[in-house]
Amino acid sequence: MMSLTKRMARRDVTGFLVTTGILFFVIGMILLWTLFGSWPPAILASGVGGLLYVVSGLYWQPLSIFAYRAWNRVANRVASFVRWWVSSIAFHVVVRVVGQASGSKSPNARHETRSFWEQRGTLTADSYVGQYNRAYRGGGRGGRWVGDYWRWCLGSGNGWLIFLLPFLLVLRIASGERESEVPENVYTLY
Amino acid sequence: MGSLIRFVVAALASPVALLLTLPALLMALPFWAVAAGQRLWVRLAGILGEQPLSLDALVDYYPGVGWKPKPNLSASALDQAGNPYSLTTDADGWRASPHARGQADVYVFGDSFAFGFGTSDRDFFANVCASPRIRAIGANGYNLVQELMLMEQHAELLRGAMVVWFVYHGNDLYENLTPNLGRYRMPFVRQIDDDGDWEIVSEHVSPKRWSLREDRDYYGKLAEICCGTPLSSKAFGAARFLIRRGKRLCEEVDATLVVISLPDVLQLDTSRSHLLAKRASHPESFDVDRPDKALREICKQEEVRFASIKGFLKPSDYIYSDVHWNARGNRRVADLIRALYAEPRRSSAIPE
Repeated sequence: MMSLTKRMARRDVTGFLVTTGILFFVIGMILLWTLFGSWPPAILASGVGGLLYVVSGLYWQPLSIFAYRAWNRVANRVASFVRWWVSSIAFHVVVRVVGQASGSKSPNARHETRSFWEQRGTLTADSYVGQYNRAYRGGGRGGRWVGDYWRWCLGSGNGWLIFLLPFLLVLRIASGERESEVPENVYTLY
Repeated sequence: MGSLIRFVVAALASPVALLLTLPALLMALPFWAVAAGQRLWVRLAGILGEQPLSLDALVDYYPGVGWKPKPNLSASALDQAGNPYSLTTDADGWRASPHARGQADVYVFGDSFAFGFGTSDRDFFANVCASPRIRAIGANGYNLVQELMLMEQHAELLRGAMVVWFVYHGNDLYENLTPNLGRYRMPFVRQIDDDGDWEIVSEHVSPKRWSLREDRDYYGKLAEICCGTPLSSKAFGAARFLIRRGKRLCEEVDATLVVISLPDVLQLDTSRSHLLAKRASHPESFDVDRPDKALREICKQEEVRFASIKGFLKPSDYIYSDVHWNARGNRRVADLIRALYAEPRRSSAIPE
């Protein structure tokens, strides 16, 4: 979600140029205002700069392709760092702390002898498509995973895991490269 | 009790952890904003822009040949990368060529390259030069068998002209041997005896949907054709048969046949041709130029003029993320056709 599509159709590149142009305009305006302390020249200079960037990118394709690729490379690295950082924080600050606070239920606890094995009944044939946590599924795909997760937390007696949801959402947003929409074998009529 | 403790501890730890993630989130913010802005732009452009025709909507059933572009189209379509391009077709369904409304000097037969896939009308190779007058007869997905059948149908039109035949390595050589393209039925050739005799099969061609679904691995097949495999001998055998028929037809109407070999962009791009080699079933015999060499040899033996775009076009002459030519590629192909047309007509010399 942080990466741009690898497809690089003209619309994708134009969208990238316009969005980065606006971003550079905003950043440039704030920087120039802090330097000169006056809004009109800051808006004018950053506006002209942003516009020049967009127009030159639109007319000079190698520049826009280079910028697009460079941006995507950096975005993927940042996304990978964000995923590492967020999952590390969630694990060390939430999961480990919760684990320490409730040692008796841990399978690794020294005096715990009870098996955590849970017997499952016979499954129906149609359940083989997706057995995992089937009972908590809302029947949805894609974006409905939040609801499924919520139901699973409450239904399975792991209510505390609801507090991991914001981290999961961040990890979802910081997912890596978007799938290319161009098939591997690109010569196809239909 | 335990679950309550865990819930409370998690409730307390979670905001602290979220605070600690803030620097990373701030770092990610511009990238999220740009990715979201780009998606919004693409969506808006899709809603507000002209709705492109799907490839299916471009064609109609055409008896014997399989399909043909619809006549008198003026529409927008998308290339494989999703870029829109404008296209118009003439009363016969072929890509409109304002310079060749009546009789043309050069008739180009081919598949999507001849149709100008991905190229707007003004950049289409047949439209960028007024002389010689070029008319392209082709449609997306055609194989050489369909193109030969069209040559036969247009034989009288070709009288005295130069006939250019595009042979794209990416699918033509393989699909000369297959009875369908996706759900569409197409004529093909089959070998009828060990002496190398072939015949065209078209009895199965009808508007009826081809029911067998398959994911055709075009680059896998091309890699196999680039090796010394039974498929490559069969593909080149079929190509020889078709080129010979095309040559005979052109001789009958006093036309000159020129075969232009079109390697895939992967075969032209030395930095990426190893990707094709990786798919080869017999890597020891893999030669990325095998189709070019074989076609050149066939044309030499059949005394047909031959040219290859390898060495003439560069990867930058292609649409990014597409196997077809961009505007510059189209201009260069027009230059090549112009140069071939300027050469002595009956020359059997093979331009390098």
